[in-house]
Parts: sequence; structure tokens; C-alpha cells
Amino acid sequence: MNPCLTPRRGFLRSACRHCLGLGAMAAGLPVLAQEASSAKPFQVPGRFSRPAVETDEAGLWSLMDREEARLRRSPLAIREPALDRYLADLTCRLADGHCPDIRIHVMRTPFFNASMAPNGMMQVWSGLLLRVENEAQLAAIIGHELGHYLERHQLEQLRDAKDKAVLAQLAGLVGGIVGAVGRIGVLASMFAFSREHEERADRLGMRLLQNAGYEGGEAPRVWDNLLAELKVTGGDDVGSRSALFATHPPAGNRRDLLLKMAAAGSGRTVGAAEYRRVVAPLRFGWLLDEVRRGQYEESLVLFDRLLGREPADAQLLFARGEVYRLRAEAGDLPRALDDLARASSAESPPAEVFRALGLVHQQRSDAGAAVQAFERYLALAPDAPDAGLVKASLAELKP
Amino acid sequence: MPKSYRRTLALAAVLFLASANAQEVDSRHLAPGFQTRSPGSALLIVPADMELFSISAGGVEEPKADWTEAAQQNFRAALAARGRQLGSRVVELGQAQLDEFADIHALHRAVAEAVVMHHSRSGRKLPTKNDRLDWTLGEAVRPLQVGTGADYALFTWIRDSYASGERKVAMFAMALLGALSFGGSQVGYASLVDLRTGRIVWFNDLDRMAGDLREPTGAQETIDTLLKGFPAVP
Amino acid sequence: MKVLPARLLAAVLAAVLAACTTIAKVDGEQMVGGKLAVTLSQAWNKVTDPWDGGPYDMWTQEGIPLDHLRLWAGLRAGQPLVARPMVLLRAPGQKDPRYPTFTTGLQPDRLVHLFEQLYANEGAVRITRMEPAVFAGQKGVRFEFSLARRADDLELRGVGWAAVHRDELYAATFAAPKLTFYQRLLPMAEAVVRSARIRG
Repeated sequence: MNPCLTPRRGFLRSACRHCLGLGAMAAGLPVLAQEASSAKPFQVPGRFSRPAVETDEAGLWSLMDREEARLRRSPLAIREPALDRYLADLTCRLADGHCPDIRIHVMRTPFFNASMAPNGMMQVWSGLLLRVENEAQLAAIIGHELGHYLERHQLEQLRDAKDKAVLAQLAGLVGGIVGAVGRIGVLASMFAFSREHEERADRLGMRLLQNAGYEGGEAPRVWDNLLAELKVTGGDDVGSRSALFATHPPAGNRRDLLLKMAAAGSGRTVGAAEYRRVVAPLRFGWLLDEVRRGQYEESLVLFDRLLGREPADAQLLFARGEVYRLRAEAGDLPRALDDLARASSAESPPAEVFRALGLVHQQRSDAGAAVQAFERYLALAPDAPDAGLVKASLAELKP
Repeated sequence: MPKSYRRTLALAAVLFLASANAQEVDSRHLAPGFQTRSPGSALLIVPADMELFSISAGGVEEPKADWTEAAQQNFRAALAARGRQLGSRVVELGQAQLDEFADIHALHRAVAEAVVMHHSRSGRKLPTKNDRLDWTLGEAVRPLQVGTGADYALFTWIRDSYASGERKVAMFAMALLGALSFGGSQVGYASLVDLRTGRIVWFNDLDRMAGDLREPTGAQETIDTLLKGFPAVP
Repeated sequence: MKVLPARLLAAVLAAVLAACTTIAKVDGEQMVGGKLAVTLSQAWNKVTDPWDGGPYDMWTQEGIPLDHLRLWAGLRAGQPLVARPMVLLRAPGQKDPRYPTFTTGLQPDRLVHLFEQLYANEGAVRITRMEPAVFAGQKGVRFEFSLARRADDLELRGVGWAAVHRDELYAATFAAPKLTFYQRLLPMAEAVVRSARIRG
């Protein structure tokens, strides 16, 4: 009954309706409990039928149905038929019989996340698609989410949360889970899976991945990559402690577990070229979204890694060059110039490369080079949004 | 009790009473100059945006499918039961059609939030509105008007939570320990938009600790409260 | 049910009410941040949020969920454009993320990028136009943008102005729903901006 009704939202703490669960985010408490040898063996269950309407599972399903309608109608939904088909085929390869029950929604959000709801709705964010390097890595994530779905972890978690909350309340911690979970419509906490759930999803995901013929070794790599980015703000030991959720196995431990499992198979499909081909039409937009975040150090870790795999890619060189240009700390300008120059002579440079070069040359007071770059930019993109600004700069630069 | 606290308590009481009494004043719910819908006009019922939750003993809000489905049905039945009040020309918008009008729906949601925040509740009024219900979606509603042929549209939004049996026990236990605890609430709004101008001509909001949409009688009561003063067709 | 002691209840209520957002009418001659003078021919609503007090004034016509006019006046180098949230717990080695921060010597496109960063936090943003312009009597830049807001899936359109005077940033942004609101309210925002003058 708070008269100040609006939830508090600070900068960078977004109240995101679609953040169903950062289920794939790495963070956790140190020392994962030893896995019980009596753990349930995995079986891929048969297709789920819609639960009877009075069950708690049905409640989750129909809530998710309505959430899915919102996703579908959202301006942030990415609708690209080729990508949609590719993701659907990939999911079918992983979870064969369940394929008809699963619907994938790609959302334009520049963070690493994928989540799956009990009604078969899967959400993948563009930030994740930007960060995975090949089909096997993407399959590892989707396999993990399928693990949660096939074992109905969300439902267990809901029941578990209810029990925990009772204990917490009676112990006098009224603000604890009630505060986090008790808000109408907010589901992120409900899907903060327990350590046990995450580990089971990792294991089942790995099984599905390998059964579908993918290289299991790519799964731990996803966590390594994510960890490198998280260290920027999280500190070097971010992998062994929880930044967000107290229930996830730490990234380092997850990686070790997955490595062990991956050792069982080798020489399988990685699908780097295939993956790149499918995301090619959308990737430049995602790179721009990443640069827009203004988290330069994290972006540099990401772009360094991607460039490691594709050193002559014009778009990646542009993206990294832009970050150096915008960060503009000591030594950044020459780095920016280097990346952008290489981008301009690489294959199919986007017009924005020449805009960035013009701005860098302008910063270096090299009028001649700046004019050349700006003119090339306007020739390639006469209707560019900043044409007015660039023309004004040209007028100033030319004697 | 010290005088200062008595004054603060009195102020608080006045504010709460004021918001409770606001329901009686008509200009709070009607746009300036609006009284009734035009004769022979058609009313579009937009699917109610509704979620029902059960609050477990620990305070976890759990979505209930059977309740929500029942509530949807009860809501529709309760609306239909008002037949005469709704008018003779009533059109229902299908869920599938909502996809087509998603941007208008999103816009209305934001406008309704603004009305609730700045008009229905005291404390955050917009001085330039002069206490009037004066919001419009303008031309944005035209596709809806053209697509359905309706003259007015009724939008409703409800979030309802109920204390489960265990919760009520826990509340009692906590009360004995001296802590305040809440057992469920009903929040929502009903908004009537003139599709020819885009103006919100009538608006009512709900924020209470009572109400029960799960049973037909409870749903009728909620509808009655939500649609109190709903403009008739002469 | 037993109720909290009346004294405690009253104090809690008073504290909560005091810490609420307040909205005041602004009209005629107004001063933003003590440095930017504007003349309003039409009244606006000024929003003061004690929980989210960024270094800007925030005004609205139709309400917080709908439109906003933000005004920055005399922001100094090193100052972020938004308020940093309070960090209650920080693990060892944990750092703040970057906030859009004004520094000296920024070219127009870099000024615009500050606001691109700011809005990127709210959703998917795209700068749709950038051109030289005069703001508050200073040479600066004007930009337009589109924003798909993550919180409520609403599509907004926006416009902004930025200029630097004596190494301090003066800027304004206005955003409103793309459908009907932006076009209807834009002239009002532009009138405010046209009247802006730096003082002191």
C-alpha cells in the first residue's frame, strides 16, 4: 500500500518485462556441492500435454501464454524468417519429439540471455546471438534451456520458492523473498534456478548436444567467453561468487564440469561458417547496439575475441575502432585509426567506417584525410542520418 | 499521543479518506463536457487484460490458470449481464485481432497508466490538467475505428491476488507478532475511449483489498464497482 | 488484527509521503540548474523524484509514462548525465559500469553519443538525424531518435539539442509516443528550447 506506486528504476537497473530469467548468466557461490551419485538418470520425456487447468503448472502455462502474446507484439521482437527457420531446425535436432511444442522468439536486447518457459516459449536475446561463435555454442545454450524445460524446473522452483518464503517470513525476514518475488507479474526470481537445477540442465543439455552430433567442447567455451566479459566490472573472481543470483553454479565450476563431459566425444560439428551465414544480415545492427551500450571495456573484450576468429572482418574492425574512438582515452585514437583503416581496406566495409575515419582524422587535425573519408561516406550513403553534420564539417575542413 | 503525531495521523487519514470518497465525484471519471454516449453508437469490448494470483503462505504470488480462465468467463458474463447499460450494439474484439492493433493497445496502456498515476490518485496530479480527465489518443485510434466500425472502445485491466488459506493463517500468526501483513489486493482500471476523437471520455480505477473474480457473484460485484457510472446510451 | 503502534504508523506514513515524487507547475520565466533561462508561453509540469534525482530537470505534459522534456544546464566535465544508483553492497574487485559522462573537447557526434548511451539503457535506440544547430544561443547539435522502450514495449520518437559553453554542457531531450503524441507536443518542446538562454 505504498502511495509512491512506481517501482524505482535507476539507470542500468532496467525494469524489463521480458527478463524472464537470466538462466544462462554465469555467477554463483563457490564450491558446488558434490553431485550425488544417486542423481536421477536423464531421460527425454515424451511431449507434454497441457496441464489440467486447476494445477499450479497450468497457472504458469497460461501466464506464459499471455507473456508470449506480449513478446510477439513487442517492437523489440526480431522477425527474420531465415533465422527463425534456422533456430527451429536447430531445436528440432536437439529435442526431436518436442519440436512442435517449442516456439523461439528473438528479441533485440544487447545482453547475453536465453530463457525458456514451461509452455514451450523460448526467448533468445540478440546479445547472445552476437556472442556465440558457432552453431555448436548456440546449440549448447538451447540444449541447456531445453534441459530446464524437459525436467520442468520452473515448476519445481515455484513450489520451492513457496516453501522457502514461508520459512523466511516466519523467521522474521519479511523483506526477503517476499520483496523479491511478491510483486505482481514479476517472474525473474521465480526462474532463478537452484544450483542443482542449473547443473542438471548443463548435463542434460550436454547430452542433447552430443546426441545431435555437436562438438561438446564448445559448451564450456561459452562460459569462458562470458566470464571474460563479466570480469570487467565484476572483478577477477566474479566467476566464483554471485553477482546476481545466489543460486547459480559459478562459471568456472560449470566450465570444468562441461569440459569433463565433453571429453567423452570429439571431432563433431561445430558449424562456424553456417552460423555466420545465418546471422550475417542482422549482425551489423547488433554490433551497433553493443557499441551504443557505452560499456567500452566489456565491448573490447568481446570484439577482441570475435576478431581473434575473424581478423579481417570489416564490421568487427569497425566496431572495435568505434569503441576506441568513443572511449578516447590515452592511446585509443591511434588504435581506432588502425582498426578503421584496416576495416576500410577489408572486404565490403560498411559506409559507417568512412564516417568514423573522417571523425578520427578530424580529431587528429588531418584535414585532408578527413575530407577524403567524409566524401567517401557521403558517396556511399547520401541519405545518412548525419549527412547534415558531415556536410557542415566538410565546409569547415575545406579551405 | 503527542500533538505532532496526532496531526500527521489526521493528515494521513484525510488523504486516505479523500481517495476513498473520490469515487463519488463525477468529474473525476468523466472528461469535461461528456455525459452519455451518442444514441445508436456501437461499443467495442477489448479483451480484458487480466491476471489472477494466489498468494501462498510465504507471500509468493502464484498465477492460477483456472482462476484466470474463470475470471475471464465471469467477467464476460458480468459484462453481458449489464446488457442495457452497455447498449444494443456491442462488438467484441478477438484476441487474434489484438495482434493487428498491438501498437494502439500499447499506447492505450501507457495513457491509462498516466491517468491512474496523475489523475485517479492524489499526490501526483499534473497541475496543467486542472484536475480534469483530459487525455486523448487522437488519430492513433483510427485503424481501430475503421477496422471494427465501433464508435467507442472499452479497455479493462485487472491484477488480482488472493490470500490462500495457509496465507490467512500466516497473516494471523504475524499479526500476533505485531507485524502488518496484507492478504491480497485488486488493482485495475476501465477506460472508455471515443474512437472518433481518441479521447478517454470515462475512466475508473480500482485499488482495494477486496473483490473476488473467481466466482460469478464476486465477478459481478467487481464489474459493478469497476463500471460504476459507466456512461449509458440514451 | 493488531495494528502497528499509532506513533510508528504516523511516522512511517509521513516519511513515505515526504519521499514521494512531487509535481509542480512551471510557467513564464524559469531557471534550470541556476544557469539556463527559459521562457514558457505554455505551462509545463515539473517532476521532482527524490529517488532518482539526476542532474537534469524533468518536465512533462501528459505524464511520466508518456512524454518528458529533460534539461541539463551547466554540467561540468567529469559529471555523469544521470544519477548513479546507490550501491549498497559491493564485492571486492567489483566496479561500477560506465555512465554517460560529459568531458571537455567533445565533437558534436560524441555529444550525441552521450544521449544515445542514455536512451540505450531504456530500450532499442536509433539516432535518425544529426545536424548542426544553435541551442541556448550557442553553436551545437540537434538530433532525432527513435526508441522502443523495453519496460512497456512502447515506441517513442525523440529530439535533442546539445551545446557546450565555457566547457559546460547545456542540453535538452524531448521524447513522446510515436503515435500522435510526438507530433502534437513537439511544437511545445521546441518553443521552450527556442527560448533558452544561458545566464551567469
